[in-house]
Amino acid sequence: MLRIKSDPNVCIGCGLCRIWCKVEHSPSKNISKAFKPAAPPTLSCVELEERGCESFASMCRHCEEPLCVYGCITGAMRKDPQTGLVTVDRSKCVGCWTCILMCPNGAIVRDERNGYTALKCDMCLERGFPSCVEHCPNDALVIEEVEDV
Amino acid sequence: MNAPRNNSRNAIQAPQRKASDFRIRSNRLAEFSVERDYDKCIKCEVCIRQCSFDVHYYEEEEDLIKHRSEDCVGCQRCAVLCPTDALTIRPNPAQYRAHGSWSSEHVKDINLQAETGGVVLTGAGNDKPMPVYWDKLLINASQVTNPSIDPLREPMELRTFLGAKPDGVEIENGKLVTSMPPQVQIETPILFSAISYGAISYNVQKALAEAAVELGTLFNTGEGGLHPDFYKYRDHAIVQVASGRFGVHPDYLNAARIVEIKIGQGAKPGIGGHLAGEKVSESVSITRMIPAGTDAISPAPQHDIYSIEDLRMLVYAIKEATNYRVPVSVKIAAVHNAAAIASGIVRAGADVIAIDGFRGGTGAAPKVIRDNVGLPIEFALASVDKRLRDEGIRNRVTLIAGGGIRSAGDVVKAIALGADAVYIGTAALIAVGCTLCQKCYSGKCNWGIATQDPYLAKRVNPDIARKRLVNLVKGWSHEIKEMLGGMGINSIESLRGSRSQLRGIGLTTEELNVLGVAPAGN
Amino acid sequence: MSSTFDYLIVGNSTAAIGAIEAIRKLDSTGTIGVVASETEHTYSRPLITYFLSGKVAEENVYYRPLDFYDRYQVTRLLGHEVTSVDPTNNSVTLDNGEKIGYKSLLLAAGGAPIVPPIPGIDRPGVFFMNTMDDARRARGWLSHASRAVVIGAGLTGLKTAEALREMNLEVTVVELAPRVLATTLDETASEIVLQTLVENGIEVLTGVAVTAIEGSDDSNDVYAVAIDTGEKLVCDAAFITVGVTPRIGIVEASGIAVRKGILVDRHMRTNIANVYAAGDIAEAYDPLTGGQRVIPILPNAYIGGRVAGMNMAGRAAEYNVGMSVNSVSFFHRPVMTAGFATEEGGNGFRVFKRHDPKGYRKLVIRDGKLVGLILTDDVERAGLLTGMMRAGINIDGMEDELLDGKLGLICLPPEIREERIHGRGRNWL
Repeated sequence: MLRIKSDPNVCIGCGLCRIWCKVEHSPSKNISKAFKPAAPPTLSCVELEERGCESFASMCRHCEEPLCVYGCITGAMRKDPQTGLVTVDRSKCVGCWTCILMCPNGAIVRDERNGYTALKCDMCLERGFPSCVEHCPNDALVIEEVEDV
Repeated sequence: MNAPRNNSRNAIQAPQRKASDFRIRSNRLAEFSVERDYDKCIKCEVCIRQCSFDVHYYEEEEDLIKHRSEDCVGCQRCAVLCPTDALTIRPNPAQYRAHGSWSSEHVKDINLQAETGGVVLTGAGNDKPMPVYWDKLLINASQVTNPSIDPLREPMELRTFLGAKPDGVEIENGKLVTSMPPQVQIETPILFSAISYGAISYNVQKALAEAAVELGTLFNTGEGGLHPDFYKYRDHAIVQVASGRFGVHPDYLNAARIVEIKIGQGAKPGIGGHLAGEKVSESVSITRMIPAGTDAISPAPQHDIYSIEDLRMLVYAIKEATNYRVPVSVKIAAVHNAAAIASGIVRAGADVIAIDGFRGGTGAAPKVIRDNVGLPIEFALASVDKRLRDEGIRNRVTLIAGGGIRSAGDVVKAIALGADAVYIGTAALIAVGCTLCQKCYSGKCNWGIATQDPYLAKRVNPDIARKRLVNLVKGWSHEIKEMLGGMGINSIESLRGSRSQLRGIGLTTEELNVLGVAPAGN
Repeated sequence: MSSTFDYLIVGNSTAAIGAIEAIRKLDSTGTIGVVASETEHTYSRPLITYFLSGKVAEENVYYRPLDFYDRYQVTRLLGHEVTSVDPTNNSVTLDNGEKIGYKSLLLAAGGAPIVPPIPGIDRPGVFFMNTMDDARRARGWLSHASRAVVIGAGLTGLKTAEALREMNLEVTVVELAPRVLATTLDETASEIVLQTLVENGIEVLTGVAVTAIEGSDDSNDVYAVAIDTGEKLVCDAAFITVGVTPRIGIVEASGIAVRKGILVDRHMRTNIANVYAAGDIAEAYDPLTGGQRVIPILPNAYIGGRVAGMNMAGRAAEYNVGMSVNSVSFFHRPVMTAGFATEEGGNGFRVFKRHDPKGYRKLVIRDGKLVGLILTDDVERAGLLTGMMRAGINIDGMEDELLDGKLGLICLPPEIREERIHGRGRNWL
């Protein structure tokens, strides 16, 4: 199974991961349109964490024991048995935000642009390859192969 | 946007400013012009986050990213990372009135010195438009009468050996009986030149070391010592003993494949070095064996070397210390009497002479020295090689040429002029990301190369840097093989000193004589 | 005995699903039987109020896809109450007299709504909000209603009130306690919720007791709710939402130990080795008090069910993260609580609060560790805080940072940060 690995040792704090995540989660998926003043607010599933000289990107780890899935009151949050990916069925989510309260990584955000649904990293399933990883200029985000127990 | 609206790190780290920090008002024109296409700018603040010179900033009232062109060093970091190509950094079109004698650079430097009263510092190598003799030399190729060789189909040897060679060899019963001085085998005639940990970051030296391992060549510690973590690369390390003697101890000497005595550096012949205390981090201080935060000053001369005899004492002291297992190299800057000096160095017992031309790089040098002192490597190399041949002692040393080797073509020409191998420093750093902005001395290298600031140093990912270095040297090695094959030569050692493979173009007779090269068409 | 299952589960809600999913991960062949009184496909109880208002359609109330039982090879015995449990013979008896055997048993029958002793509570037009059927019946009734009274201002009561308001009914909430959500929130947060309800047109009466539910002269149907001020709240529907109580009746005389709920250890095991309990019926380990407590919330039901399922299928797992957490939105204003949210200092607790236009934030700290919180409005990355609570991280000196909401994994001690960034999130159970 594939996961995104974040390496604080070479994170340069540029924030491009967030920018491209926002683009991917915008209606147009186009960087010049996504940030137009008239465009809907942008949302990123990636956080850039910074303190002094330290920085790293954090996002969903698609936990083996995903507390967000366990806490989900609707069954919208699922862990795919094949890919191990934790994804939200946005048609089922009612925006109770229990997942936000459960996630120890703080990796789920409120998407209030079109209804009220949770938004989280799905490793760019639709796009095919995580945009943050592709656009990280220093390989601080890379794809790693892992095994779920 | 959730990102902090100011360059928070700089805000945190900015020391309390004192009245004396406010300099004389500057009259200098900005060197670069930052042009922002506001139609494209998405206010993502990547430029703000990436510029260590604080050129870009967020203007809250107007909700716009703005910039101060006067602080821009033209490193292009922001332009490269801008996700919407909204930034163009180019030389400031506004210039002082054109003058054939007083260039804008002269006017700016004079203003700078009028403001500061100090030496104008710079980094990287001589950037003046002086003749580059590599570009005036042409390489031969075989046609009809001597067949060229296809390196993809036939063996092609780039392997060479560094170290003194005996005057002759005796073989008995198929076995070599001559006792050989220590030899270091390298798989390509390209070595990474001396760049100290201190001048460059940990990550860059690590990448150089790992690339050297992967390529079967050597990296050079410079005069900054060998970090404890890097002893694992000992089989690919040249360690320097320089005037400051930083980081020199028995384990250090014995860790090396070659010990190099640094007499001079092409970018700043005749002067020493000065690593500012700010760059002497805890880790640098351990490696250099000096207190953290203190300036690391390398004296201009080695204070125990005032003659060839003194040099010989140091060469043999090192040989004793290393039990004669490793070749000892002496590195000198290319200066007017390089040939005579080289002759003396051979007689002092050195196994390797490294000659560094005046376009060689530096982490910091007075600009007036960098731009005015020394010789092009091409002349120094040719004259040293000729002198040693004339004296019949060329076999007693390996010659390594450095200082301005920019391409595989330059490598081939250097070897044809008499070098056994070349040092590349600037080319390697460019492969890692350097854009030759020449602000190495500031310690604020935006590309994370010439800095000890942990925030900036992370910008070089040693894995990426290693791959890029390996790719560069592999690419050059392929090209060298192609050129060798074209000349009908199947071994790099057969090219060494083969000046008949070169022709000069646009050179005066005197220049051709020094280079020992016939004019093109001859 | 008509049939015997390797795994028999009493209940068909969250804890049951948690157990089934855990069992099937470890055992693909063992037989699983589910007994439940309701005949519905497994559904989400907290969504009942959303179903009531029509915001969530029936198919989305279902907690798992319709092919769930088939994919997980689960035999359903629905529409039957369990009347007794016989651990000696490893069997349960259904209301039709049938006995079902088991190798291991999970009791996950949940809670039953508390029926307060109010005269007239059985009138037509009086509803509980505990099952999908309750909501379905209420929906039918409400089609010709215009005023409703909700008795009880707990989470279910207020979500019911919100749903009714969204259906354009006039709504009055009556609460015995002096404020809404009195057991969940402190006074400030309670006031914030109250304001939100009032701004959205809900009338809230606190500190009043209901004395009777009255009909009209010409009908038995609900006509008014009488309260102890003497007032009569005229309405054509009333909802009783005063809480639930564990259905411990099913284990009466079985020898299975109970207190308020069925007592279970850290493995969700009862005093009988092959009998487990999870969800609202269980009185399980509370990591914050260190004792056992009934915490009837959905996340704990799932996690408890999962832990039970794993142990039943032979992999040791512990229930360590079952603290109290609540996240709820009223008219899109999020309110979150965890742990000792209502503590106000003293008894070893230190309390830090910030109340500004960004929202209300309250942190409760004991022995340097975060043990309780309330957040309203600004709830970004709230899980980082509950993650700190679960991991028992010492937050001395970080209080202001956490109160400012400037929190991130970067605030965590290096080893925990490393686990969060690079770990696989497998250590919770």
